[in-house]
Amino acid sequence: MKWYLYFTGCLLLLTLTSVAQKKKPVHDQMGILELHISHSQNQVPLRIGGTFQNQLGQSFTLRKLKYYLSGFSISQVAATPSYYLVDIADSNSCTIRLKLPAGIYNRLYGWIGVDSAANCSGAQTGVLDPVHDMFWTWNTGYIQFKIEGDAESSSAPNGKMEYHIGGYRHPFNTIQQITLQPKSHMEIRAGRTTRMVLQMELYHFWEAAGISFSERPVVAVPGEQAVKLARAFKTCFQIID
Amino acid sequence: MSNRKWIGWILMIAVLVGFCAFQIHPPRKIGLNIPKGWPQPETNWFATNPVTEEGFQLGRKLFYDGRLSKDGNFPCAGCHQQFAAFSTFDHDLSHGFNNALTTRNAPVLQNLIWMPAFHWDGGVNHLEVQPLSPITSPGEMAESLPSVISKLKADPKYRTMFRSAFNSDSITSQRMLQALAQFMGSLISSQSKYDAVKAGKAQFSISEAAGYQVFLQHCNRCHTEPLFTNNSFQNTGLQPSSRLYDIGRARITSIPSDSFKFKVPSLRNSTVSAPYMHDGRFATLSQVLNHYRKGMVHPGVSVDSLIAAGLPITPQQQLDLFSFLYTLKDDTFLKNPRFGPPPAEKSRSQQQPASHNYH
Repeated sequence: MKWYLYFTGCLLLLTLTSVAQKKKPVHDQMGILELHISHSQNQVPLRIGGTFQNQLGQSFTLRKLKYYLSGFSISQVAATPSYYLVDIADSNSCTIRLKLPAGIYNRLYGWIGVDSAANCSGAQTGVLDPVHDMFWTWNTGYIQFKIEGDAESSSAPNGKMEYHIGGYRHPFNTIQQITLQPKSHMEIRAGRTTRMVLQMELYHFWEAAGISFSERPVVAVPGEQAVKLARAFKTCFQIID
Repeated sequence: MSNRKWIGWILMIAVLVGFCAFQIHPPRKIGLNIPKGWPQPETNWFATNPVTEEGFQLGRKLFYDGRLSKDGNFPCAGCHQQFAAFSTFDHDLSHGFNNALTTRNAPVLQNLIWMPAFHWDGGVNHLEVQPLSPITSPGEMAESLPSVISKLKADPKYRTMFRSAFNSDSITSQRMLQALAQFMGSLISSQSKYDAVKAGKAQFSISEAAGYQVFLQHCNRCHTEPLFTNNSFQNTGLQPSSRLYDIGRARITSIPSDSFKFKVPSLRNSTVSAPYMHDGRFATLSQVLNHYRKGMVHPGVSVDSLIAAGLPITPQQQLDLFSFLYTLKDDTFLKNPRFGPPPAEKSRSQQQPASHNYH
């Protein structure tokens, strides 16, 4: 059975590649952009179990940082979106490979979170599989990002800070477009891999969100607060070549 | 080439062809029967998940399998009993893991493909993702999704059934949910006496006919034929419970005027799906009607204007209305063995007299 499948698979592939080779236009040549996401807090590398401070000097021990990136494109209108789940506990997930048409660019567009179409299309698989614990079951939708930790100053009964940010329904849509600008430019060469570092500086989030762990240790429902925090989260990302 | 080699080749090819014909037998498409005269469902859930006999049977097995819950005691069917139109018979709230109670009345499961959103507050937007909520809720099935998947993967019977339903060996949450959707989407109730009357195959009694007129005058705006719900969210003037303090639809939309609104339930099979309302506070239909006649309260936010003044229904009209509601009971649906436990689960549950399903 398997043997048979492999055989047909190979045949199909051969046919397809031969057809594709014949028809491939010059301008459609693709290269790879490999983005290495480097996470920091106040320029100190972020790690699970590490202790850091927010903008008010309230310290926290990081327990979880996970988020979705999607729809990378060199034009503002993304084609079929692909989704990436970045989890700082899993270093493999912090490198994402994007297939882009060869060329020289000074901007890369993408999204933090999962678009509303994917939020409304039923059971998904791959990084969008709800087994990854980034999905709300009581109010359908993906959690665009999750930050959790223990914080002395937290007023929550379990002494935690917990920001689970999501929601795709108008007017509380939390998906955020980001525009990444390399310092000079970025060159994608056909059939080659270009590597760049995407810096994620969490301190910008605390600063933009203006969060105090004693006043608002938890945000875990869609709504106004979620949108505010989603906007703050997007300020963390920057390409540093 | 020697004869023996030839025979070897022919045999190998024959075996291969036979094997493939056997293995790549595609799942048999059965689709869903839209009853005559009903609207086409606006949902298009089965475009990407065609209903097949194998998928339906897998979904049915999953629906009746306690292993989808943490301790094995709470299958979907524990709270969604066929004879109660897949609601929980005689329970205002339902029992879950570790003696927990749910916070809302288990809704009936019928005609779900005409329903754009699930839960009393409409928080769930697709039939496929609906089961995630009870499976992972700590007070219901209390299980984690990865754990359910690994239990399914460990069972050879499931491996076979997933393979024949989806033509592939992988068992994922997506396939489990698609199979469950195929089963649940197939739960169509359309063969009540009312339906027979509409099809010209039966006649209402005098009381039923009078009740139908009462229904058309006072109920049909929200409990709209032929589904007997318009799937809207309404505040029906129920005093909010000081224990549950459930704000309803506003929990999902964050819009203050949606406070205390809940989804309009269908009246189909309502005579077997007591108790009533989102928290099951009314044990009988009389109590429901009494509420609509004179029991509504106005907790600061708008009660649906059609009923806010109280329904002017006489006792005789109420009796006639009940007669009519009985014509919406669909025994074909309530007793259809295809929707009941698969044979293996049936014999298992018969071995356990103290089943959680019927306490």
